[in-house]
Amino acid sequence: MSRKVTKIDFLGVFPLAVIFSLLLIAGSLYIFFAKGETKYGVDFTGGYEFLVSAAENGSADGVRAALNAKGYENAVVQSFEVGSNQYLVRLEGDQTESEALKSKVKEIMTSSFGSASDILRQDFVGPTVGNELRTKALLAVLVALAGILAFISFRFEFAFALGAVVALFHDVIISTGIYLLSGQTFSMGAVAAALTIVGYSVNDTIVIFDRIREELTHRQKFNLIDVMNECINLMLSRTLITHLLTLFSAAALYFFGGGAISDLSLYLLAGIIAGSYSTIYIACPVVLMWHKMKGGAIEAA
Amino acid sequence: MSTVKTRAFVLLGSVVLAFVFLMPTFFKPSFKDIQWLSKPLSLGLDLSGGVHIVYEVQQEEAVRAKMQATANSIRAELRDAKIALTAVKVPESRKLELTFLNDQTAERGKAKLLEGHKDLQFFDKIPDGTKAKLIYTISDKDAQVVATESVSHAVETLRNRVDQFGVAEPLIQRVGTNRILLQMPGVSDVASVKKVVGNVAKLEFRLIPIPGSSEGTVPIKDKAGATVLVEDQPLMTGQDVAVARVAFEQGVSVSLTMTSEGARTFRKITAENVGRQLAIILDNVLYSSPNINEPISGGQASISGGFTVEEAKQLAVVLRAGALPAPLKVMEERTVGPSLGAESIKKGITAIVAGFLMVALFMVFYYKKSGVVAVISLLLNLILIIAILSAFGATMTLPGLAALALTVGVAVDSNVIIYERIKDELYNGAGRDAAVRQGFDKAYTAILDANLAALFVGLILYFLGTGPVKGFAVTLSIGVCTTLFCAVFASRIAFDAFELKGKKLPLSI
Repeated sequence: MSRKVTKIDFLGVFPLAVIFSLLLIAGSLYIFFAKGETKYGVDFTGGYEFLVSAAENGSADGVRAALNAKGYENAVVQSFEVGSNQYLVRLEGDQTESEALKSKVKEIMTSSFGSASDILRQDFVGPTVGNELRTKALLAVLVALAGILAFISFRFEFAFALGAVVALFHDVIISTGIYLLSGQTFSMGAVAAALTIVGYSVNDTIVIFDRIREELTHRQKFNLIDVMNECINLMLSRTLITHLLTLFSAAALYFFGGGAISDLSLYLLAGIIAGSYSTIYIACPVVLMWHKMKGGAIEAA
Repeated sequence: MSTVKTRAFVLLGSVVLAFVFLMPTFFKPSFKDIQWLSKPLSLGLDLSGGVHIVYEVQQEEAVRAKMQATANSIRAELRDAKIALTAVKVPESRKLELTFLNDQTAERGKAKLLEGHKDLQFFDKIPDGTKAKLIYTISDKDAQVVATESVSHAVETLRNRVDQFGVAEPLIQRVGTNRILLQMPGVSDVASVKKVVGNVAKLEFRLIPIPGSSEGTVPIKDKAGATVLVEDQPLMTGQDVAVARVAFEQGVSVSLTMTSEGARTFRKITAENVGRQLAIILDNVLYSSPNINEPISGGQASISGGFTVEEAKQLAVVLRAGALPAPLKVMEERTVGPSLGAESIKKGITAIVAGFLMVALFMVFYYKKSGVVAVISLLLNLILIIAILSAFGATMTLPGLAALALTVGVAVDSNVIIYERIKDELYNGAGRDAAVRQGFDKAYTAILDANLAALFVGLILYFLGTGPVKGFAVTLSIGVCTTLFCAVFASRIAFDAFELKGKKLPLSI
């Protein structure tokens, strides 16, 4: 059996890659802050959210107009699933109006869009709960990140942990930017998708780091960047295959998943691509630069 | 050697166990006997449709209600002791204000209260013209006990009410210090749920005052909205009611049967007050005020007031289950229509199957027979995850499906790492056995570290997360364990087994 191992200098271009990434991160952060409160779904802002279906002549603008006409000036309406007749409607209100609001919305839908129109799902989140969900979700994610930092420091060494976490942040920020750009809002489901991205990114990074760790134990003198390049090349077939397969799965979710899953799978797709890229062009450079700054040898853990 | 047989046995054992746990999910009707062993996989609301409500118990109101009850019994005690109390008020939830005829009466009252009411703390005495006021407060510790108990009491009452609703597998859970989570899968009529579940349902019997009487009175509204005066002392409450039923005499009504204590009290009240009207009040709304024509000994009464059959049924349920100790405020409310739930499941399954097929096709095409081993190990992985979720009674939610997708991705990666490593070893000239052994061994650290990191994250999220995050964390944590089992333990058995038969049946890779 013959296997040709490639000798591509992946890391040679890393300064360019880092600049490219920084630009993407800047863009994503801009989108994040520019969207202000509108980026949060009802889970985090509080209020009412309805998933409605319009039997005939539906459109996001049409639904919004119908609601505005009946006095709901601040209604936020967006299409739920591409090509479907379903729309997400967000309205303000407190807990006492629940039943009245529901019947009014149903009435507006059936009178303007056909009697088969319906409310498929309705959520109400009180303002206190909205804030709590936000804080709790953030806390859980931050502690999880700290956990990853600790774990990788323990199993490898701090420089690697730093690389993995920076790559993580990179992946989540950029895929979030893409997700928000496509017009979606943050819900608890989006938090679950973000966590999935974290999972993929960490998995990918650790696998490469493990190979680097293994190669380092065999050498006395080395040039870190060369070792890294070598490992990346050695693992190239695994990397390509795994990423291809996960992209397959995410694409399946996107095309077949329907409504809720479909939107989030766009988030996942972006995250997976970012995750593959960041292992080579963010995680490894971070380790390289850390060691350049600190000098000294790497402990072959 | 025999280790392959032992290992294969262990594997087979786990598969059989897994199927036992899975049977209730897939063969619901025929396996009622195994119910004690495992249950079907429960689906979260986003997949099954249903109602999810988070209530906050208004604990201060429970404290106020306790003070009110204390006020009522103090009034009765002082009357029996012939101490002239002119007014009783609960101006704040933790304060009690007693107005006496004059200063000496106040002192006698104070002495009397010192004997009986250890939970009240004397606060102040204020003169009020010729009268004197005594102000008492409830200690913080006692108030806290009432507040805490009100939540457990509320959970019990909700449970009773929901039981009567007849929902399959409702979830009622205390959340934090003062919140209650109610989940009712498969229910789509949120309005009825909220009416039955959320109302305090405080039932009281009071007398309509005779003009010129010295009893304190309080105005309340009746069902038509008009204001009526009733005495401010309730004579009987919902606690004296044993059974409540819908009855169809004189239109729709709810007939009440008192407890034996209650029946005795009722007889006494009706005997002492023939000719007066007895007001029946529910949640501070006057429902009816029939005349007492004669003493009633059967302990039967009926509430009629223009109910529809639905309303009467709801009222009966609520009275049977008992009153809530405090009002419940809706903090969060979600409803998923059943059609949406079913659609979500169907689409989710289609997506997973499609993704899986693509992965399987590739694996078999690229890794040939070893690819088949990998696909089987993936299938086993999924089966084990679902079986374990069923065994623990965990719930599969939409974010859980996302975690499943992640697990499959990591599992596939584990297989690919091993196989690529085996190929590398073969390329470097190792013999078949050695290549397999080296491949598994060297890949082991990578797979272990990656999965442990994921497990660590899963556990952190489980303990810190709520709702969807928790659902995600459970599936992820279980998935990591099954992946380690399948990719490392199970696949290896296949390779070793095929080497060790007498004839060489090497697995192509």
